[in-house]
Amino acid sequence: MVRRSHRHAYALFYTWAMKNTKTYLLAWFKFSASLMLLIGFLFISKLTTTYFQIAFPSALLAMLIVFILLMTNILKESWLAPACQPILKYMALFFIPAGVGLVEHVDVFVTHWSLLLLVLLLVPLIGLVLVPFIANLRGKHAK
Amino acid sequence: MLSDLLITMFVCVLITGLFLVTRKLNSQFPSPLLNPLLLCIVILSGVLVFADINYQDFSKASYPIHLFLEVAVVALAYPLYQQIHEIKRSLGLLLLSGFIGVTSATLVAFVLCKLFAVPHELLNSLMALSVTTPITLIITDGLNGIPAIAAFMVILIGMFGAVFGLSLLHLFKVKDQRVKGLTLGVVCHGIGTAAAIEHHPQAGAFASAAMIISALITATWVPTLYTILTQLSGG
Repeated sequence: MVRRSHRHAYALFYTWAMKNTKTYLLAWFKFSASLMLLIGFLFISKLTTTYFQIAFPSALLAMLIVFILLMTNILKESWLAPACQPILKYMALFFIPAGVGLVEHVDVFVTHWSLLLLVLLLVPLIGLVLVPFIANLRGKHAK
Repeated sequence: MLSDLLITMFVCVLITGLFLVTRKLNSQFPSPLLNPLLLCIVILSGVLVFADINYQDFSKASYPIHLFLEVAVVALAYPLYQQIHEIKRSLGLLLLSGFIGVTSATLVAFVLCKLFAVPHELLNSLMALSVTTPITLIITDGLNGIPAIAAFMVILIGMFGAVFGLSLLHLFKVKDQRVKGLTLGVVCHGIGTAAAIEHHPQAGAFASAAMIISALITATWVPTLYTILTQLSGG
């Protein structure tokens, strides 16, 4: 009885492992394919911007191309989802190396702290006043 | 050569680990003040300063992570596509308020910089503050500014908006959830959008759409506006 259940457990583990390896492999493959798609479009737009010497950021051009292709249904939403969802979820990670560049410019913060503080307060404040004001004006006009 | 590769792998794993830990911390104690990105930047900067590590070495070792910055911008097409059906009817409103928000942010920063007579490099770094961090990094780089300073200011502005934004909007008697969302999305980008999603689903949808639209407006309009402003001020 004990031996049988032991064998049974092993068989269960074996099928479980096989099934999960399959799903993990499939998920990994889907992620890689979808990531390749994103990188491919980025590469195409990089070639375009350097060849025609456009001053527009290549990453944004690639984003526009992908968006238009999604809208025209040439690219399916499900092709991009496996890479886009995790990338968007953990996006902040990719800003860290650039953000740490701060250490090279500590002196700027020391000398210009008053200006930076004013910018930090006024930029969001004016935006928070102006944007709803404009939006309300337009909303009333539309009604 | 091999040791370079090992160092790169070690640094990348370290940064990713630190980021995951701070993210976990933020989900345990949800507060915009405990922003994982800001915590990571401050901690790593502290380590670099105290351990006397050259930033160039760090930047070389963390380059694989930096590469994904542009991929992340491309990935932004996906949420925009998902939102477009909901916001199609208010597209004009979104474009107008995005334009107003981005222009006013650049104008305010420019005037303040001129009043304080700051060096060009700092002025260039403060031109694109009303956008999400990856776009700021790319545009500031294009304007010959210091991307790190721009990113730092953008994160702080986002935190300001997430902490005080909704109460300020309440003070200004803004009641429409759509207007609340789009204001937070335009002015306070990612961090404000998170606050809007928490506040109300409709506000959240408008915030994320407004964030991406103001990113596009910033990319096309801010470099032109910058040229106009510098020529007007005689520089």
